[in-house]
Amino acid sequence: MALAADRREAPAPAAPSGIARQERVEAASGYLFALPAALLMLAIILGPSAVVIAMSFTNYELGAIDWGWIGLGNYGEMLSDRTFWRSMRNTFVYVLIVVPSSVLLGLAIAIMVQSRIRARRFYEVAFFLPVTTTLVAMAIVWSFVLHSRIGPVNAFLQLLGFEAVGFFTDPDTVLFSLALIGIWQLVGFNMILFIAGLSSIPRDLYDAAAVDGADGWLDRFLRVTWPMLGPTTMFVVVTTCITAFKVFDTVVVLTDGGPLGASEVLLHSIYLEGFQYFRIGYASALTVAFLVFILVFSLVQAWVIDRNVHYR
Amino acid sequence: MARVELRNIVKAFGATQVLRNVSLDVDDGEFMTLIGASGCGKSTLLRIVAGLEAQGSGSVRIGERMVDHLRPRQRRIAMVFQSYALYPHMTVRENIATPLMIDRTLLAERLPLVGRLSPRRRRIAGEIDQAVRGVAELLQIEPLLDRRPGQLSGGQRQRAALGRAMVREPQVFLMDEPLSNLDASLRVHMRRELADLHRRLGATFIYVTHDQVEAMTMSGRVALMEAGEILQVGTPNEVYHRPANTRVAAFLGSPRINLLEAAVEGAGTLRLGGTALAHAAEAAGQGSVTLGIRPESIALTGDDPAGQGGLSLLVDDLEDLGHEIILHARLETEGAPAALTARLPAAAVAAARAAGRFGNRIRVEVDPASLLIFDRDGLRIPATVAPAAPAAAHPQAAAG
Repeated sequence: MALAADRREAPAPAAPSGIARQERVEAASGYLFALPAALLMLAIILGPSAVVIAMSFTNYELGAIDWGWIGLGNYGEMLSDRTFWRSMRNTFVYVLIVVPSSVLLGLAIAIMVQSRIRARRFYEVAFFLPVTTTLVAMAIVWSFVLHSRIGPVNAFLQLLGFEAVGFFTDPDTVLFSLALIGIWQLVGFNMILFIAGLSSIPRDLYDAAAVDGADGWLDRFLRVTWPMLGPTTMFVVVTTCITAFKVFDTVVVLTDGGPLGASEVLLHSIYLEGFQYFRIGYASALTVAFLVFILVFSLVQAWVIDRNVHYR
Repeated sequence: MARVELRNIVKAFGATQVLRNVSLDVDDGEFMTLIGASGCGKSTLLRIVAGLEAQGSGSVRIGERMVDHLRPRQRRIAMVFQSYALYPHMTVRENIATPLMIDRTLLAERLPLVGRLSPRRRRIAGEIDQAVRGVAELLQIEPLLDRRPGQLSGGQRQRAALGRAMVREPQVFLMDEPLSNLDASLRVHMRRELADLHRRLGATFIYVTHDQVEAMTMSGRVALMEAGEILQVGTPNEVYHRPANTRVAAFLGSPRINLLEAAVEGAGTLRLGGTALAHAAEAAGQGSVTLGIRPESIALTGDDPAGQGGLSLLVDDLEDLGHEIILHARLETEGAPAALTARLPAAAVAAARAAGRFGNRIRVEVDPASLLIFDRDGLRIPATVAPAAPAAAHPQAAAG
C-alpha cells in the first residue's frame, strides 16, 4: 500500500503543471463527449421512469386540476385490490405456461431444423413468420380460428365427437387459449436464437463425445448440446419471461380481461386504471410494481443461471 | 494392442476427391505419423480410422477385427483433438471419467438427478474415480482434477485431453495435431512427453501433423501424404535421406532442399552449370536429371586454390541465426541463374570472412555422397555418387 501511495505521489511534484492541465482538459472533454448520450438517456429513459415513480405517490387523475401527495396510499390500495391480485395471479399462470413451452418447443424445433440441410431455410422462415406479424392483426385471425361457434377448430372437434370448447368464453380455458397464441408467437424467435446457439457448438465436441461413446442422441444432448447451449438458454429464458410478463395485445383484442376477469393481466389492469378510469396515480403505482417485478425476476434468473452456464 | 491396416481407402466430399486409394499398415505398438500440408487428407484418414467419417470404399482393420461397421466407441480407439475438445462444463475429473462412465453405466444411470439414485452407479463411480486418479498421477495433473478446462493453460488442457484418451486403455491412440495449439517451448517439451508416453503405454499411435520436426523426432515411421495419396512410408531417416521422389524431398527439411537441373555426360558425370559436380554411373544415359542438394550439405570451399568440384555463387542474402547462417545465393551458370540455399556454420563463415574469401562471390562445394538424383519424372535414382572424376574436372579448373 505504502509503495502504491508513494508511486502516486512521487511524480506529482516532478511533473510540469502543463501535464496536469492537459489531463484535466482531457477528462473534461471526455465528459463532454458523453454528455449528449447521457442527456438523451436521462430524457427518454431515466426521466420518465422517475416521473412514473413520483406519480405513484400522488392521487393525480388525468385532466384533474388539483392533486396531492398521498405517500404510499396507492400501494396500500394495491394490496387490498382484488383485481390487482387476480391480474397478478393470471399473469403468473400465463408466464408459467408460456415460458417453459415456448423455450422447450423452440429448442426442439431448432434441433430438428438445424439437422435439415436443404429444407432448413424453409423451416426457419416458416417458424419465424409469427414473429414478424402484427400480433393485434393475428389475434383477430385467432379469434376466428378458435371461435366457440363458427371457428374451424371447434368444427373439427365436434366432427370428432367432442364438445365445442369456449376458447375465449370459458373462464377456465381463456388463459390457456391466450397462452397458446403467446407460444405460437414466441417459438419462432426462440428457435432462431437456439439455432444460432447450436451452430456455435464446436463440432470437435460431438466427435469427442462419439469417441467417448456418447453416440446416442440423449447422451449427445445431455453431454454436449444442452450444457453448451447454457448461455443461449439463459438469454432465451430471460427475454421470453419479459415478453410473457408484458402480455397485453391479445387480451385487449380478444377478451378485454374477461370473461369475469379470468384473463385480467397486469399490463391490462394498468391500462384500464390509467386510460379508462384515468387514475394515473394508481396506474403509476401498478407500473412501478410491474417494473420491480420484472427487474427482480430477471436479476434472480440471471444470477442463478449465470453461475451455471459460464464455464470458467 | 493392435495392428491397424488400411486397405484402398477412398473418400470424396462432393466432387472433391480427398483420399485416393490409400493403403497403410501400422504395426502393433508403432508410432506412425501422417504428415503433409493442410488439405492433403491426413486428418480425414485419421477420422476414418476413428469411425468419425465413413470411407467411400476400402476397409479398416484394427487388430483382428474389421471395424468398418463399428461405431467409434466399439473400435477400442481414443482420439486427442487439436482443440482438445474437452467438455467445458465438466471438471477435469469428470472429463477423464466420461468414457468409462458411458462404457460402464446404463443410460438411465447417466441421466441427471435420476441417475444418482442408482446404488450401482455409486459403486461404479468409485471404481472410475480410482482409474481417473491413476491416469492423473501418470500425467501429473492430480492438483487440477477439480478445475474446469477454462481454468487451465494450454499444456494442462493437453494433458487432460490425454488423460481422457488414456483412461479407457485403448488399443490405438489417434492424435490430430495435438501440439499445434501450444507455444513453441511447450511443444518441444510435450513432444518428448508424448514419445515417452508411447514407450510406456506400448500402444499403437497414429499421429497427424504438418510439422516435420514433430514427425522426425517422435515417429517410428512416417507416412508422407500429398493430395490424398501416400507418397512414401518409412523411418524418418529413410524419408529424409532416401526420399522416393522430389515431392517428398521438397517437403522434408528446412530450408527446402535445392532442386537443380543437371546435365548427365558420358558414363554419368553430373554437370551443374558447367561444373562437373559428381559422378554417378546409375544416371548414365539420362540426358538430364534433377539434383537434390540439402542446404546443410553445402560447405564453403577451403583454401584449396584449385577449387575442385566447387561451385561459384553470387550471394543474395544472409540470414544470421547465431549458430548458423542461411545463405541465399544464385548459381553462376550459362543459362538462367538458379537459386541455391545453404546452411553454413557461423564459425566457417567467420573464418572465411577473416581469410578474405567471403565477398559477393563465393565458392562452395557439395558433399557428393549426400547428393540426391531424380529422373525426369521426379523419381529418385538410387545411386552411389562419387566425386567427379579428375579428368572431367580438369577442363573446368583450367577455365576457371
